[in-house]
Amino acid sequence: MSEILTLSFLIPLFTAGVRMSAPLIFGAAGNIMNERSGVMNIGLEGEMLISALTSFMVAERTGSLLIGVLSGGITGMLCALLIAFWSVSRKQDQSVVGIMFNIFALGFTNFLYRAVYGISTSKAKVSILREVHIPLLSKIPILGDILFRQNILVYLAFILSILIWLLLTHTKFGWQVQAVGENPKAAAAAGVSVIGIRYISYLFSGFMAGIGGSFLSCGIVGTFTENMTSGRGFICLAITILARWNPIYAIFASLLFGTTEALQLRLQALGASLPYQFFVALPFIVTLAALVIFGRNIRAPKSLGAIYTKESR
Amino acid sequence: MKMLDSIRDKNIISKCIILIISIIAALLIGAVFLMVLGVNPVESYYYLLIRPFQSLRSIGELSIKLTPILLIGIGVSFTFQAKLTNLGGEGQICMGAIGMTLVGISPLAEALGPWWILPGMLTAALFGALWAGIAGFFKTRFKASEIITTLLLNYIAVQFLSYCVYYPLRDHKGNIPQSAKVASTLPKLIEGSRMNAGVILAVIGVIIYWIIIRKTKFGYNLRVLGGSIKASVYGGISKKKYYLIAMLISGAFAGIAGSIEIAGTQTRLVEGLAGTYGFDGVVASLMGMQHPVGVLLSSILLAGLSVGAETMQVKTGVSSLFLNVLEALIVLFILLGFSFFNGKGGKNE
Repeated sequence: MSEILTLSFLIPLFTAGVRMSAPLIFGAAGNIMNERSGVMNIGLEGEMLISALTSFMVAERTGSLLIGVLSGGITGMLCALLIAFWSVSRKQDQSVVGIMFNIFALGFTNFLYRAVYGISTSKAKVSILREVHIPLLSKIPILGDILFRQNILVYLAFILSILIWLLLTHTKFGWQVQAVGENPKAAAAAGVSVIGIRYISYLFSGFMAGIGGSFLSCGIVGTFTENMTSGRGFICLAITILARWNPIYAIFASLLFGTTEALQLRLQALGASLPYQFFVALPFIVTLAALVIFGRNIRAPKSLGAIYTKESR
Repeated sequence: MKMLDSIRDKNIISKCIILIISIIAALLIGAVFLMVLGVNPVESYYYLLIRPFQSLRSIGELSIKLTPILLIGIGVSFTFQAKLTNLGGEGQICMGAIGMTLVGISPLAEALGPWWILPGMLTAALFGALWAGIAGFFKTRFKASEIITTLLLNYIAVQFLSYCVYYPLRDHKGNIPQSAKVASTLPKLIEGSRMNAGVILAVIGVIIYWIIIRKTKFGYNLRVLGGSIKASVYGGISKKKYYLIAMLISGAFAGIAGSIEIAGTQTRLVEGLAGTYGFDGVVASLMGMQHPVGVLLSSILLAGLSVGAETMQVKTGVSSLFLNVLEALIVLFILLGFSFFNGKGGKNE
């Protein structure tokens, strides 16, 4: 196992780690805004899964990855609209709605993919997003390889998280989102539209989850495989808690999980002496451990998950 | 689960009407999906809805799917009563199945003959309960959301089961990763079908659930915690204790479901034996609104649809997971129906 500590192992490992963390950053950063407004979205996994499929299908038909990824984002948004209707407008239990949406998504993608592409062994493929080398920065030894030779969506993930952080902490809209998440009644009394803010947050987080899902099919694999999100949406939910509802922290938490994932794939390939099942389970074990060790006693948005009903006058 | 509880005491007829309309609406939307993709919905629905109930053999298949769905449906109903959400049925079945197999291939099972099933099921219930207990403990000790931890535990348990059949429990006689056969199986109930005694145990489970929830102090307190009973005296109930016990019971039910999969259906530990039962059980509990009879009827329906979905996949090429689409739509429509029925939707926070 001595080859693990060489640069030729570590640089590709961290490069892949950064790449694998991007879908998590998209999912988690969007979800943080969602939860800051006081509503949960357990359906994140399903949003990512459906978007992974639609973005792939559109990219495959149009030949344009850009249009593909964009339609992935829009798909995520439409999914979120559905979830928001049930959760915000019809005031149903947010976790139940989310679970049902995930079940729907698993069945729907499976059904749609098989109906369109059949179950033949030769899979339809698209070429994945190209690396974009950032001038100068990509020339930095080691760090340049890891951080600045990624595809465009990786950069976008980092930039968007920072923007969300700025939006939440430095703008009037962000303060309104937080007010709605902490005390919706007071926010409403101050003239903020609780329902409006929550819809916007859901839609935005759906768009982000959609891009994250598209990243899996169009950014990493180049095809769609059944249930390809395999729990990443749930890991995003855990990252939200670990990051203490802060999009900047979410970047670091996502990097941790992305790297764990990259590591498990590489250790498997190296034929490590441990059974492969251990490595597949590793990201989930790490998430669980992290939730228990770092996630305790931290303050969630006060009204998270509570049902809000507009006061009648 | 506030919402569902607020409905519980209203008119049962309107509940049934909403349920039936939801099922029809889901089937109609499903038919549109099928037509858009060029599949004949009438033919697909014939295999999905009618075929499963037409022969003795398929009724037997229905019963072996009913058993785990019902047991998990009952198990998660316990947690829903306390307003907890146990989504870990899949993982808990796996752990139960592993526990059952450990006993079933041990010398003890040889010695006990058919009676090995009793200690086997106890072990399975214990394994399932402990697996759910992890989430319960994290919830009560560290305030970790049980929704997320039970989901994460599913992925870990599935891999652990896979590890068991590849390495420590592998039967080296064949090339397939699976354990040796267990000592003996549950008795068959009807000649010419695969129906086994497990389904009786599942129905007994429903009765136990009904007694605990409706007739015991524990069940009463559980419902007080969940908010479905307005109690003037709230103090004196240890929230943590009840959360933990509800999770343990729930896990034990799933564990027993796993044990019946081993002793009744699979006869040995294999990968993927949990199938979609974990979430089917959650759907059954929600469709049945945690009412014992409701959960039973919903489970029968879902089990029938699962049998039908497999036939449909073979005959028409439509993925059997299409059933997930219908399941989710049914529950979403039920929620929608009640939100209008109640006028105001859920209660205020």
